[in-house]
This record gives sequence, structure tokens and C-alpha cells, in this order.
Amino acid sequence: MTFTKATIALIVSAAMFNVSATSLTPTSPMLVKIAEPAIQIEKQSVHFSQAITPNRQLVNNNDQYTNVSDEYWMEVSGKQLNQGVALHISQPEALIRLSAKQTSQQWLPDDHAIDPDDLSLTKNNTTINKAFSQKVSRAQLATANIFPNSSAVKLSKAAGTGKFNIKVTKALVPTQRYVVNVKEKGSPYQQVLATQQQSYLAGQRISFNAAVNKHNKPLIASSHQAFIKAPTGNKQAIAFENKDNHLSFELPDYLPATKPGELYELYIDSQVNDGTTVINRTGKIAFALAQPTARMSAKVTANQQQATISLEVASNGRYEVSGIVYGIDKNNEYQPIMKSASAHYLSAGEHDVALNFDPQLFKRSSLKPPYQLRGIKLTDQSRMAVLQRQSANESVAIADDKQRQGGALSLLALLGLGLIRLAKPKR
Amino acid sequence: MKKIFISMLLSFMLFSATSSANQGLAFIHGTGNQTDAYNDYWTGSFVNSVRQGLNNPSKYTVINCDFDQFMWKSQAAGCLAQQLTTFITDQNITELVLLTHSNGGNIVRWVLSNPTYDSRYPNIINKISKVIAIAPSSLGTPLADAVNQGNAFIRSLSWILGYGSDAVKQQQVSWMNYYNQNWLLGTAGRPNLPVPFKTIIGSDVESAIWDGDSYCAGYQYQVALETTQNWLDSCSDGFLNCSSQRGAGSVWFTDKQRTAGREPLSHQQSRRDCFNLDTIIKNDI
Repeated sequence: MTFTKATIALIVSAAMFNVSATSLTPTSPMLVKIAEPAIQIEKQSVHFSQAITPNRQLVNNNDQYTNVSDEYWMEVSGKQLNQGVALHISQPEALIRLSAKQTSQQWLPDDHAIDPDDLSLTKNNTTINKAFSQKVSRAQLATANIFPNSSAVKLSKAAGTGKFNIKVTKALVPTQRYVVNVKEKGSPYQQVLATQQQSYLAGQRISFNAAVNKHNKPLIASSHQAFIKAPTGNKQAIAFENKDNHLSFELPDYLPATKPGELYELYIDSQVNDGTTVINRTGKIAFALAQPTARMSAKVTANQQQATISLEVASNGRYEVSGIVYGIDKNNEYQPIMKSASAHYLSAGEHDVALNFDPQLFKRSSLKPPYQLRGIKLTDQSRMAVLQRQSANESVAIADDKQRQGGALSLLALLGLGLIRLAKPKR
Repeated sequence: MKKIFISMLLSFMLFSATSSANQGLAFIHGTGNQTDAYNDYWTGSFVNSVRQGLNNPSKYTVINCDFDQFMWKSQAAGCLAQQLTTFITDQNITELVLLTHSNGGNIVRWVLSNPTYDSRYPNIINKISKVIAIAPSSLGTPLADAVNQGNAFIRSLSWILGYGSDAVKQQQVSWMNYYNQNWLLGTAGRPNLPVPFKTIIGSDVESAIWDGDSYCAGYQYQVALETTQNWLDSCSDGFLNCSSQRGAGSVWFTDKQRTAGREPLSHQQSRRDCFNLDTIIKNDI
């Protein structure tokens, strides 16, 4: 799968992002024609509406994510561990986990783990006695079946913080790969990664915010390294520019394909000095990268039975349109009544598809007209891809039955693609 | 007199409605590819105690599916939908209670949140009266992230996470955030699920060697889960932070509020008949 270049902007600054939510609108006029994935796909049209619990607070288009990390990890070889590996510890009683790595090229026997009794910790070339307050063996970790081929130690209070050297005294297979994970629970130093959205179309501009904080205040002069990890495990280092504390880089031209629903991951390794203390942190943000296989065109009509949405489909597949119907409460404010969704299997071409509402839910609701449809979303169910969303500040008027009988032209509302911008709905 | 008559009539109607419903109960396991979840995941003592809460205790099913897969896959949600459909049809179930553990809650949320994905889903949803979700991994777990740090895994018995399965990838924290915001309902700011989703929260792990309670469901698991708590918040069941367990639906109770002796439920103990958990659930059905 080849992707159009998209730019990832990493912004390292004191402030967190303060960007309004964006709609998922294709930036390219070109849709793509791609084969259906080789999975079982439902072919029947299915409609479903459900009531929204009264007074439930909905946030349309919320796709934000913030990752907070108090740990770091790195990959080393058996040879390096036998020679000694430098570890920067900034938090007393940090936890160190060592996991033998199994790869497709390197088969790993069950007992291939480091015995905590074979670990030695030095600081300033002096071995620390009673360096560990807790040792967890492979057998103990394996009991929980969470960390096979792993062992862990907890630093003693007496060991303190600073630059250490950890060494395995028993001879290891020199080429065997190990993951060293340092977890500094309760540390005041936290890497914070934030993004406004996790789902993107190929070619869209992507932006992230990264900072290393101390007691929630950012430290300046952090250095960062970034790479993208595909679900296949393939990693691609990212070369980025740093200008006025803004880091930006472009996605590679090629990323290995994902299976439907699988995500890519952006990893950030950060390092910063706070006086003489060196702080390392690793964090990641998962994101979906979809191909624009279809889109909603600019016309939506709606009455109390259904909305009709025009779709332009480039790739055969199963597509769902969904939205939330709002009505007016006794305080003259809009509140959600129901969430409705309809899915259809569609071939390439132009289609007017129905998004059915449940008349019983209108009757049962205490909310009154004029009704609105908000949060319209188009997804490609066959490829598990979010393709398009109505902006959070847009809505479509739902004509009441009388208007419908009169054939009012006010049913028309234009969506998403910039042809008409609707006023913000009154709250 | 009129008020008394109306009250009696309403009580009779309520009783009639309840007694006329054909109740069914499904036990839905967590991560793992199960072929005998009755023995390997739940144990008979737990299942046979809980199902006594049904009008007819024989109307139950224990689901066996491949929940090492991503939740939407045919081997996961598709398998669950087929087994539930067969159960509903064969037993003529009109009121279905689902009891889930751990990642089983996510598979059920997939079905509830994506009714148009599969033509079998709407009928199942319309039959469900409630979901009792024990320790659901609704917001994922940092342990899944830790496991994936180096692909450092092997195939093992894997009752919690398994080896490097797709289900483990799915339960990483940032992955679950994406799925919650884009594909699943019930978390903060998102539409509610179409049926009640009541959660039971496990808040701690106790592994004192002198404490008999630490031996319920296996002492060795308690020791292991206390170790994994190092990657988690102070409120956790050894596998999941309480915040993740509370992340979707509504909290029914946190272990110590109702368990015998106010004992916490570790992630291992919350699928066993420990500290009256089975009786508490039975009485709610």
C-alpha cells in the first residue's frame, strides 16, 4: 500500500494543543479503487436506531488522545548486557524488566530469560550491594502469562538515582535481542504526547504535541527521536526538523499494509536534562490511516422517517452512514434523542442511501421539533475505516411530517465539503 | 381502596411480565481461544452457582470462541453472534443476560455498538436485557503496551493476555482509545450502549502468605498479579486499572462494597466463586 506523503507536525511547547476539532474531510478530490479485503462481508442492508439516555453529554467528533509516560525502553543484545548497559534512573525504587525478544528470525526456547540473581548493578564503577529490594523470576512472571521470557527487579531505596550500569554476569547468546524496560512509577517527570485525532485519510496533515514535564510543567531543550511502527513490526525512523520548538516530519512514501482495523504507531523517545539528572521517556500514539474509498457528497435530505445521503463510491464494499437526532427540551436547548445507523453493501458508483430513524423513539421522547441530525459519519465497514465526519458545528434540519407532506424545499442541507457552512446550532 | 387495587394490579402485571419472560444467561470469556471455557475459564462451581438465579437454571450457555482475534473478526464477534443466535433460537429466549469477564466485555460492546455490521446483531441486541461486565478492559491496559514493547512473547496458556495476539494489540491503551472514539459506544462523551452495561470493579490484589483469602483461585496467581501491579495504578486488579474497568457503561459496584469480608477481587478471582461474587451476581439475575 503506497500512501501520498502526509506531514506529521510535532510541536514541542509549553502549551498543550488548543485546536478546534477538525472534520474528517478528504483533502484530495481523488477517491481510490481498491480490492475488497479477503474477509466475510455482510451483504444485507441493516438499519438500527437506539435511544440516547436523557441528559447524556455527547461530544461529537471527539477523537483526541493524550498519552502520559513515566517509563522508557530500549532494545539491546546479549553481548551488550554481558558488557554492561547504561541506565539513567530519575526515580527511587524504579522497576527494571528484561524480556528476551522473540522474532520471526530468532526462535526462543521457553527458558530463555535472565535470572535476576545474575544481575549486577554498578554506579561510578562501584558495585552496589543490596541493589534490589525485589526480584521477580521468569517463573513468577510467567505464572500471570503476561510477560513470558521475562524477569524484573525493583531498585532498593538505598541504590538511589543517577547513572547506573546493569550487567548480566552469566554468559548470554551474544546475538539474542532483549528489551530493557525502566518503569519509574510515581515520577514527577512525564512525557506527554497529545493529538487531536487518531484517524486519518492518506494525504491528510497530521499533527502531534510532545513535551517532557516535571510536575506538569514542561522542561525546555528536550530532544526527541521518532519512528513509525507498522502492525507487521517494521519500523521506520523519522527524520524531522526542529524550528522554534516545532518539530515536523513527513510520513514515508511507503508503509507496510495493515489488516482491516489495525493501527500504525508513532513512537517518540525523549531525553532531557534537569540539572544533572538525565530523564529518558518513551511514548506512543496509535493512529489509523485509511484510503478514501467513498465519500458523502453535498446533498442530504431528511424527514422523520429517514435521511437520504448521496454517496460517491469508488471501491466495492459495505458502507455505514450514521448520525444522532436531536430535539428541543423545555429549556429550548437541543438534546439527543436517538442514534441511527444504516449500512449497505455498495458497488462503485453514485448512490442515494437511506439512514432510517425509528418513529417510535420520536413518539417516546419528550423532546420536541424542530429536529436536527448531527454527527453524520461515513465508515467503510469492510475495511474498518472512518472516511468522513460532519463537523461538530454543523447540522441538518429534519423536516416534520407536515413540511414533508407539503414538499418543502427546506429539507435540503449541504454538508461537509465546503459548499455550504451551516451556522452553529444553538445550545 | 382504589389505590390498593391499582397497586395490586400493577404488581400482578409486573410479576406476569417477569414470569412470562423466557430468561437466558450466557457466560462470555475473556482473551483466549477457548474450546472448554466451562472448565478452563470459569469452572463449574462458578457457572452452576450463578445460573441458579434464572427462572429456569437450565437456560444458560457457555460461549467458546477465539478471542485472541480482534473483536470484530468472524472468529470473535462473529462466533459470539452465531452461538448467541443459536441459543436464543433453540431455547426461545426472550430476555437474555450476558455475563462477561475482561476482554469479553469489549467483544460484547462491539456487537452492541455496531448493530449494522452483521445482520445477526439486531436480533441479539433486542433480546438482551442487561450485560453484567466483570472487570472489563474498556480502556485497555498498560500491560498490553508493555508486552508489545519488544514483541517479547511466546505462545503460552495465556488466560489473561495470551501471547502476541491481535487481542493483546487491541487492548493497548492508545489503541482502545481509538476504538472507543470511533467504533464503540458507552465511554465518556460517546452515545450510551443500547442496553444496560453494569460493571463490577476489581480494585486490589492481596497475596499475604498467611491470609487464607489469598488462596482463593490460586495463590500463585495472586503473587504474579501483585507483581504486575507495578505497571498499574494503586487501584487495579493486577491486570486492569480501575479506571479502565469503569471506562464504559455504569459501575454496579467495586468489589469491597459487596464482597464477603470486604475482600478485593484480583483479575483471577473475579471469574471464580470467591468472596460470594457468584451469589451477588445470582441474586441480580
